[in-house]
Amino acid sequence: MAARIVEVRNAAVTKIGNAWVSRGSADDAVSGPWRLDLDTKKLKGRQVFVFPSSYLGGPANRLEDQSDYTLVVLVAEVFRGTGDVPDAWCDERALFCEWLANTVLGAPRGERLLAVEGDPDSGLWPESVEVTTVYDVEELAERKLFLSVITATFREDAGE
Amino acid sequence: MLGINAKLYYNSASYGSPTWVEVSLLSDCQLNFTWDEGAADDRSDPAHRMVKTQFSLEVTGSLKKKISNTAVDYLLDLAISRAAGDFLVLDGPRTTVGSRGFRFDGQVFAASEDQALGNVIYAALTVKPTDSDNLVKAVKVGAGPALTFATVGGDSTSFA
Repeated sequence: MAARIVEVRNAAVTKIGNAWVSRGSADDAVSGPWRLDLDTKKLKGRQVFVFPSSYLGGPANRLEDQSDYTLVVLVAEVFRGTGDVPDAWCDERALFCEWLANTVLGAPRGERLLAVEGDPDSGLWPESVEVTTVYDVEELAERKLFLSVITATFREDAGE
Repeated sequence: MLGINAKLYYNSASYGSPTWVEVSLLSDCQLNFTWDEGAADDRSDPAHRMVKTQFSLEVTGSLKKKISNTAVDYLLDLAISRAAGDFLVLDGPRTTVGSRGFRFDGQVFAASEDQALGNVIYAALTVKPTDSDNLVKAVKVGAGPALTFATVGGDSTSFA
């Protein structure tokens, strides 16, 4: 049995994977590793990494606890062309991250993570999703690495 | 004694042979118990003298709305009808010796809810004693555990 935060991380990876149907290359992937390796020599395609960040909870009522689980999602892609990184290339990555944050992770009316079939009140809903770093200026300048950070907090009432 | 361990039950069977069903999806709950005061001043004493006349009893609480929850269905149905329920409100579980509270036949007088965008919906319930052949009873959980009852208002009434 996995820790709940790990289950949430895994569910987010699955949700992103299912939604991300139009991939630019066969190397594009989403994963939930524990270790992060941003060696630009090894990084291939567009990589979406999902990490468990924090969680907290407390009683919501006499039966259930309300718990928040925060994930950090890193989107990393190296520009492999020659010369400076074109603006349009960055624009497209920024749009991808916006889609990831608003449509995939942060859609409040969409399907909940880890919902139990037949129970509309089950599962985790997105409480807040923020693109905390649209792109890392220094990484783009020095290593041609587009690196974006999304912080997503999911909430559930559980206990019954 | 902790509020999270206090209990509200309703009887799903007969008054004489009750089956107590716990209302577990309550968050904050308030038991209001207040005597009205009658002035009994006379010239024998310069001090104001007050006498207990009638008491009011009221249970208010936030009930989390959930689909297909038996207790939620029961209370919300009472809210829209003139039917009365048999309620047991205690400061601890009915299986804990020493828990105290009241038993009364009551109607649900309010079930308002705040449907703000960011909310989990809770119904703000108000339950009060209603017209009934069964008087309001003070309750204490005695050895067994078993509920013991006393009629409120006698000169030497006690929580058994």
